[in-house]
Amino acid sequence: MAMALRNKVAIVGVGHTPMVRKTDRSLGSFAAEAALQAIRDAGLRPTDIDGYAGNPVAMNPSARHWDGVDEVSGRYMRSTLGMTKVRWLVDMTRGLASDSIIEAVHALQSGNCKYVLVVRAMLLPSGGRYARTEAPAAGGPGQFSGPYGLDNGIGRTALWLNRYMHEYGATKKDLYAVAQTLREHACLNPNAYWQTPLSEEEYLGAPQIFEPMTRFDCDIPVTGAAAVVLTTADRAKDLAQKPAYISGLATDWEAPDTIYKVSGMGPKDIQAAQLYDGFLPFVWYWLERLQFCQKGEAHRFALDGNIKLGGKLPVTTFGGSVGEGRLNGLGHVCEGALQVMQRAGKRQVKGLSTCLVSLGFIWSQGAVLILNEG
Amino acid sequence: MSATVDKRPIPLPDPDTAPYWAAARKHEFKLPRCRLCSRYVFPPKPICPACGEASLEWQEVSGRGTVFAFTIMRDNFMGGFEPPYSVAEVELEEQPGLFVVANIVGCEISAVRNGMPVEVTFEDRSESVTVPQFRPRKT
Repeated sequence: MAMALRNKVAIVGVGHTPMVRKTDRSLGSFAAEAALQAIRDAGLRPTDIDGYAGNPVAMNPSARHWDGVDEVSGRYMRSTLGMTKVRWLVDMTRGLASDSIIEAVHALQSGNCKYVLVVRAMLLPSGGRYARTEAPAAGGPGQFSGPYGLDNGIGRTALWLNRYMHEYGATKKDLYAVAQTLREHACLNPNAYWQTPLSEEEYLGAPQIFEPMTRFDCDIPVTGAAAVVLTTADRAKDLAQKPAYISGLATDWEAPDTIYKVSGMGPKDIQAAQLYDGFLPFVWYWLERLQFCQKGEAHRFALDGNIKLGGKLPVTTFGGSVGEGRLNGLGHVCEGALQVMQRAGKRQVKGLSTCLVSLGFIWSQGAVLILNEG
Repeated sequence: MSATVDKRPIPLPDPDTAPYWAAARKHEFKLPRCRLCSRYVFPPKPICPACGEASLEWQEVSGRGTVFAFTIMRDNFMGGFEPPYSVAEVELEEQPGLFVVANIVGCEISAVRNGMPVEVTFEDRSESVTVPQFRPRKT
């Protein structure tokens, strides 16, 4: 984002359903609930929405990719919500919500639409094992890992964590500080799946998956949805909520600190950070790459209590993917917006004007956003 | 010969990677190397990313490396695999940052360590599939 485009686009409405593991409702009904909530939150109606960007894809290996059932497409949302004015509609191919935020920002900046709805909905399918992978053959990049039994999520993260622990002397007890904090934050979030604290005994005692990763180092698959509405700054000021302006947007994975160049801000200007925790060790990774602490220091930084609400840099204040539930980052965007809007309730960081949101995996880029009061 | 069918995924070569698997079939460990800047490229690419040189040639490498990172899979959701098994990221001696993923064979899982010296070996999984693996080396 060029400096001239700072604070030209804002998030003006937030919608979020509870995250559950048992439900009789369809995924489509969760998506509609979140979308309507976001639209009404902005003081708009479905027929005011003229742009849409979503991430339909279901991420589990066993996914059927059936519209309305385990995914929701833009076409499904447009017809279900009666958004008859939508003329700019894009479905992104990856699950990560940053892609649709980027699309929404560009659609608005290019004048292609006035009010954009962004949605991410995910289903926990009943029966079977979420991560179960059966494949007779592996092609593409997977030909070098599939035949060896390495999966692309937990396994890859386990290799990163193993190396980090070896290089810096970090331990699972250190990582528990992050797990404990995110669970505490989830307990302050009525939409979160987890509503109870996580003891060190339970965390360290969980069975190993790809060692040293256990299920508490992974996000919790759930059924739920979230949505945001974005518009241009000139329109934002006339709507129902205090806007959360986008002061910076960067997708430079090689140098995540590019966000500071494009926003004209530095780590010291950030009062809270919604760091993507699709896998718990990502929090250490982001703390370092975004210069909130030195390389190799993140495990100590978190252990010292700095990432808790009330600490030096509250992190993932709504519980994240591990505490609230898996939503490929749109939950992080919603919380970032709510914090800037001063609507995070018991989770509100006092005196916050600027919140960073970083979405992405250790091995592939997403985006970093800075949200600001403007 | 065991009656159990090997259900581990077989690698599907493509035009850029076929020579790697063909060499493995002959128990040779070969990687693409840039004729211009001499860098090894792995995973294989159609050109050298460092200099844009289109002329890569496949060269046999020593097969020696060290375990940069490893994990032990103890759960059973990877179809065809019986836990526990190790998976390592091996850094080859030819070039810093030249990594190959494989299982560590020929030793107890508990013996796998960061920095462990290893060497390539080959695992014939069927009449038509051979995959490189790594085992501990003494020297």
